[in-house]
Amino acid sequence: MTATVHTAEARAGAAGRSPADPGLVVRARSLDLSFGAHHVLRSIDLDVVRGRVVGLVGESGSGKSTLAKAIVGMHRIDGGALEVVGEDVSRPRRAQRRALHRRIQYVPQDPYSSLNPRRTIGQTLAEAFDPARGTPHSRADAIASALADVQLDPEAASRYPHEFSGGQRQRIAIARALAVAPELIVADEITSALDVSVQAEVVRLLAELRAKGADHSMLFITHNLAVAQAVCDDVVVMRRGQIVETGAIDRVFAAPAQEYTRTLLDSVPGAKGFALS
Amino acid sequence: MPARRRTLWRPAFTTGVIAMAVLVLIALIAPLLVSQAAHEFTGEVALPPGADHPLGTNDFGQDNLARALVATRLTLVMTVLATAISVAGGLAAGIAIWLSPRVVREWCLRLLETAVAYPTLITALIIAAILLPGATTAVIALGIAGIPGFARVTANLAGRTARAEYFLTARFLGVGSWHLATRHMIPSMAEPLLVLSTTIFATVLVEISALSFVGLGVQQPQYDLGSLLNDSLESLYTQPVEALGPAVMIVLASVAAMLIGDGLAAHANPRAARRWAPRAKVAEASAVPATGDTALVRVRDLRVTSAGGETELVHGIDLHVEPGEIVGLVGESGSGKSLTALSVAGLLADELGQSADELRVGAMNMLGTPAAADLAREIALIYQDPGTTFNPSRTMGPQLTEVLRTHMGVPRKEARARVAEALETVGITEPELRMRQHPHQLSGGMRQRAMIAAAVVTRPSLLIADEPTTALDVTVQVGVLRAFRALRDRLGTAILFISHDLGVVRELCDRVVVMRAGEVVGELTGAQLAAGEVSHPYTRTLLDAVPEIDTERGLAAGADVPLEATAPAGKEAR
Amino acid sequence: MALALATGASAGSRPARRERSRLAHHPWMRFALRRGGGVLLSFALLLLITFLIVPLLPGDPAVVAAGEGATAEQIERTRTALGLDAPLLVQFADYLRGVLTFDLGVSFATGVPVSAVVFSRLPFTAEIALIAICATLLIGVPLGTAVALLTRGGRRPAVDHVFNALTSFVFAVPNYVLATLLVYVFAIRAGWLPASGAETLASLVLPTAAVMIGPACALARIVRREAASIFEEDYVRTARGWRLSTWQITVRCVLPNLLTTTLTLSGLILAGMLGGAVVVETVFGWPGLGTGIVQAIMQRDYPVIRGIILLLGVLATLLILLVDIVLALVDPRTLDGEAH
Repeated sequence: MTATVHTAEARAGAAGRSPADPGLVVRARSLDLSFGAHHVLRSIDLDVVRGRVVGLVGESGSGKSTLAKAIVGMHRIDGGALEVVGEDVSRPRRAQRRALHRRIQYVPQDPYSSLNPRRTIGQTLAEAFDPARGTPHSRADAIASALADVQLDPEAASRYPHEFSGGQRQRIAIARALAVAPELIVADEITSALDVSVQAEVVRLLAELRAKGADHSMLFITHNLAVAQAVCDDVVVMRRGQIVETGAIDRVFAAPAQEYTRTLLDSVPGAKGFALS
Repeated sequence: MPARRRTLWRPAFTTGVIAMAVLVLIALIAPLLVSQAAHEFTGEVALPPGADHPLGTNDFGQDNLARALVATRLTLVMTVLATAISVAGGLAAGIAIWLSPRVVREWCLRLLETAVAYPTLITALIIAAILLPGATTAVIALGIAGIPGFARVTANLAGRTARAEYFLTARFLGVGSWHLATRHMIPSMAEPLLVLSTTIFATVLVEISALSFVGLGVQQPQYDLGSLLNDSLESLYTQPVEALGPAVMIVLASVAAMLIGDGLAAHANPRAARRWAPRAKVAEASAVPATGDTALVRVRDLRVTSAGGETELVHGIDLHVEPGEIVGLVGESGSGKSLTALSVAGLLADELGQSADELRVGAMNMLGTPAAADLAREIALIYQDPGTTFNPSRTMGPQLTEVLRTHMGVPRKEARARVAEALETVGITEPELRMRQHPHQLSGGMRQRAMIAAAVVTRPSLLIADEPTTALDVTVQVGVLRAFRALRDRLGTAILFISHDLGVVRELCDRVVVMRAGEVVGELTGAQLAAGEVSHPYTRTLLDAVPEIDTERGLAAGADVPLEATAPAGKEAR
Repeated sequence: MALALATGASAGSRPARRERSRLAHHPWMRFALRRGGGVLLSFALLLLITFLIVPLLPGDPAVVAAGEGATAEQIERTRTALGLDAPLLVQFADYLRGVLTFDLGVSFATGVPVSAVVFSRLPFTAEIALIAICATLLIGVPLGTAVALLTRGGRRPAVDHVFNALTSFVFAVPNYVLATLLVYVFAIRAGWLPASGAETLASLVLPTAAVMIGPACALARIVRREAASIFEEDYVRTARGWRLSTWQITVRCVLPNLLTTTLTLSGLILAGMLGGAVVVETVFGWPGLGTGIVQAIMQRDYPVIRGIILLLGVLATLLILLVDIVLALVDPRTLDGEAH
């Protein structure tokens, strides 16, 4: 706990929190969002530092997915301020949103619906490299290397999504997101629909990409604390539309400041505090 | 991978296309060849069918068959034109609605909803009332009447595609509106809209003829199939054969259009045909355990085959569960663990084939047909809860007391009391209220615990749980797992626990059986698993794949995470 | 700091419940508001459209109303008498007032008040429609369920094929062709039933049959498809786990859940039967709204056209509303608006 607070104070003092802090890819202040009468997010304050992988964890209904979607502009926020990659997107205009598109990438949970079933992998990736023309021939080399980055054969480009397994599709989705060299990737439960071994494969891939020097920031939404720890530097614990606790993930997991975080950690099978009687 | 799509050209569709081709051919050439016979007034009035006039002649001496053939052209032309109006208008309106702001869109959709509910024929009558009766009126009237239906489907399809994740992702890649439309939107809508157009064609054909039939469509001296049929009504007593020509042509056209539409629809949404292969049931319902066999569940050489028996899905596995033992059955998707569990429960899908040297639960031979009451009492089942395991249209009470009432003869009131008590033991508050509620009013964790409570009351000897906690949050999962453990400890119920999550299994189970591709590849005790004493390579891989949470690392790790780089959220900023 | 965070979290976890009027949030109240609004909107549109029939005419209604061979002066007198020279808004107000007092003017052709014409014809159409609706439900639902039961999991493919071929063929036969065939077979050849008129109970049989056979086939197909998909549902698997017999599963699981989708779709089919009745009446010379409107359109008798279209529209709207109310009674989820 103490470490987190120290950092916060250190940061607040040093950076002075200018409105468009170049060191922050996400800066949310008192962010509110509701669906009708139902408040999904309540006064969310969140900073994501450039180059970090931040895990957004919580149980169903915690609002983690909604927050992620608000950050990429899929939900309009009802109150507060939101800056993403240095731009104020609290009241996004169409042109601004378009300009931001390639700087932020969103990878959805379901690898079966995120790829257009009628287009080849090559066409899908070509669209990422060159949204206007998007023919696979013009970018054959780039596509081949993008596929190689996620450990797929170049010949995969001529095949259709249904010919791939769930894990392979998720890797294609990641390759597509990386193709535009975004500043921020928002990955929404991308390992949840996968088998354990495939999940491990995706986690390993993310680690390798990082090791190879990929410098994008990432917001990694997951309900699986162990996966979060394997992938992320920092963690944001959410519950019922609010942030419960934040900090470096190892530190938060080792010494949670909040009772809820402790409960959450103790519920993970294999955790120290887990007991069935 | 299986073949991508089944062929479009199945018999029904082919028949439809051929019939439609014949009709089009008739429409093209009949007016050229037989128009004289169809139009000329001759003295041969109201002749019965004969060699010269296969369907006889009408009151003016015109050949009935020739008239029916010639009329086909006008009917088809009017139908095509009216369909074109419906499709073009509906497409334009649908796209306009989808493009408009949300409030407008929702109102328009509701309006369309109402409009679609009105019979098109009545809408067409309104339009026919405003314009003067005639062929043009009929085309316009039915064309307009068909617009709302087509518009609604177009708007809904566009909305569905716009919400599809691949469409959203393409937008995030910065793909422009034009390319979004041409690459993603239009291809995804083309097929269903084509199917709908065929359906509209069939409807329009029938209704445009209906309009002429009641006298508000084509007027004299023009004639189409509908007006011909109307003309024949008057002479139905004297010359019934006159009705035959137009009636057959209308039915032929309608059936052809429908067959084509059905064929296209089946092609767009292929549904695997299921083949029913009755399983030979072994006569004896009871089984005697071999001497010295203390196991509650004994499975020897169980094989499960796909429908038709071409592929074997489970390749002769052996399995046993001792009384009061919790056995984990672990594997990834496609490992055959669920099929195995269903076989043990005697609930394998009807079309799958099953064989075994022994498949016994207690004294029941699951290859035979044990009494339903015994099965219900001895074997309880719990499934993954995606919110659909309870009947949504009944309250919880009658469902949870089902086994007690149906199979154990417990009166309703007592059954409810016993279930209420059981609900409390699994940690559900206000059990009486919960039993009056519908399943969708309970949370997933509550439903799973209710399922366990329903199992507790019958005191089963075996509980089969298939991924019971997969859809649950971790904090809820703990509670459910504890309920399992308590069930075993208190009632001595053996549990066959199917899961893909070795982490959960390790915590709960006494023994673990690992399956892969329909075979058992390893078996180890809970203690071995907990200690990581795993020799089999696949089990090792599986175990390594389970992400471990480490709550120690951070204690000593202050140094390797620079303080400046952490990302504190700004609670502190206030 | 930690304290602030903790209190912040716990304060937020107990959301401030706003005072709400309980009545306004009662499910039935919300249902009434939602559907009531829809019905009012439908009525408003119906009124507008039926009103516009006359001003939109290509010809001059006054000429038609004055009768054949009327002088220019007579036409003008008729125009003034009918209020056709007043501004549109005034005409519309007059029309609304007329509708509310059941005074829709007099028939151009016969001089009889429109309301009298309409209400004398209504019972005949209502008779056919009601009997046909009941018969459709009584045949379609059991037939569809039975076929789904017989063919579940791919059993008895022969039954499947015969059912599919038969229902799709019969459905493809238009009701007026069917009516003609029925008249020929049962009235002319067999002589069992009257071919036309509405004098006896027996004369109801053929028109009703002609109206309902097609929709019954359509409904049976829908019910069969729905029932078949319900047999695949998780809760049927649960019920099988409780070792309920197929019969118990059908009665307790399939039928109640069948009702929702079946009712939703059958509402459309039933409203469509009003259109069917209009056509079939022509074959049997049935003195209902169908023959009435056809006659009126031929004679360009606009007040009668208006009256009948208004009535048919109101009937269709009420039928759809009725289905929705039954749905809400049967399945509380539709009341919560979850089905949308």
